[in-house]
Amino acid sequence: MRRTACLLLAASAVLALRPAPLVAQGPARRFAVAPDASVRIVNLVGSVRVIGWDRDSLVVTGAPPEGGGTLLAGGGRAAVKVVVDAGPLPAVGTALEIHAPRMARLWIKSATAPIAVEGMRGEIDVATVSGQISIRGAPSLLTAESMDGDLLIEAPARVTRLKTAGGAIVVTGAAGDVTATSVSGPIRLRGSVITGRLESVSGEIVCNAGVAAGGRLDLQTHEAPITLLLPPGAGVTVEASTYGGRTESMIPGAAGKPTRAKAVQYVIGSGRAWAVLRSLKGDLTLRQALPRPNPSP
Amino acid sequence: MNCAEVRERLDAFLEGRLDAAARAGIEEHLAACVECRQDLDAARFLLGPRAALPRSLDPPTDLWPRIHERIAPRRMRWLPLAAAALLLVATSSAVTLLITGRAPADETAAVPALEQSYIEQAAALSGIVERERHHLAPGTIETLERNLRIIDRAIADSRAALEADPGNPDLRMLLRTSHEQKVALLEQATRIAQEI
Repeated sequence: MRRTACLLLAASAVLALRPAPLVAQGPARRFAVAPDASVRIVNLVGSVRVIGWDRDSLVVTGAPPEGGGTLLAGGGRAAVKVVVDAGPLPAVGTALEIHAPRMARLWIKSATAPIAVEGMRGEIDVATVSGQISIRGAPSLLTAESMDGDLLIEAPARVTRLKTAGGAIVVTGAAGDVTATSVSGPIRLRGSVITGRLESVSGEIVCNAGVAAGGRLDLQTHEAPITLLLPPGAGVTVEASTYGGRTESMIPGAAGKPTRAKAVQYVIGSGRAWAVLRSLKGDLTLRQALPRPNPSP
Repeated sequence: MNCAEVRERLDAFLEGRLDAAARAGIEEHLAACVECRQDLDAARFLLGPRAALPRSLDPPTDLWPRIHERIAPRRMRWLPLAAAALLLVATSSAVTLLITGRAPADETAAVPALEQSYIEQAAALSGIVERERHHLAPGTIETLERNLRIIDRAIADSRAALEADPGNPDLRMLLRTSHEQKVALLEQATRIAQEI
């Protein structure tokens, strides 16, 4: 529990403070590309940073250091591929920085290299083994996967698919349809969703989300606690079932009604959205979220 | 063979109506595609109750005369349509009842079959991971094994709980999710080993 809290705190801190800009060195390579060009990037070790801009060109900055392999970049208007060819796991990494049209479709793969993407609005598909993935922007479709790298997402995509085994998942400003799964990593979602599915085996889930009327949230763990924070005035029917844990509501006026063995239903406000909390051993808690501060004018 | 082609042939695949080449093509695709395997599980789950249904259902013969008798004097043209709709609803309800009436027993019986499918997938993928293990970094192997242990414990817990309460839908969901996570993790490890 303490480890989970520390991880979430650390992840939030990273999200808030932003990592220092990754420095890419070497001559820039430029390509004229279509606004929705497909951009495929492979850089196993080092770092990858992609920045969306309002130009119909793609600029790659970064050169492998001595022993770091060769940078291969090429393609046409419709598709560009950028690959650091350095064998399975080079000893030294390459810092890549790429400016791409905002609507470009991104596909990035790394092993240990952290991946940072900002300002993109097209489809994004990123995968790493142990690097951290950080996405800021508004992609139409976001898919991110790691083995144990943290996934820090501040990108209200229409569809978001996140998966990790041991990393933490922190999603801020979610919108649309969000699926996040982990095995042991904690999952934290803050935002508003239409549908959301958060699943973990042993990672704690904290969901502070508004759900659209008619929308649905599914939160599930095997043994970790689940906390659902609902904004004031939320209208949600919550069905909570846990076998070895306990269910508790701290929302004023929401009395639980047993529906079947080990399951309790709470109708909060209009009850027009659905939230299902399910665990074998974890505790389930409903709480009122603090009112969010008004955005600055 | 792509996903659409595979999904189109899943029923024929399950019913053994495909030739060896088509079957091999689907099996090859299923080995690499978790979404199609989920569709296969769903199709397999539905196949039992569906196969038990009669090939055709004759509508009740004594219903229409009584409806006709009641509506004829009124000469209302829309009523035959409504009656036809009623018949359709009645027939559909009968079919639904036929399926759902058997559902609890069939679902319970389907649990081992469902598990078996995931266990086979996980075993096949574990074999690939084991063969490709030398391509994985020690840290990745450690993460993979640690998380697999967590999932295996969850599967054992869920299975034990389900054995004590076999008809419980939440426990079925928990067990299924744990299996899915194991297969997904092994697929991810396979991809890493083969691609990186």
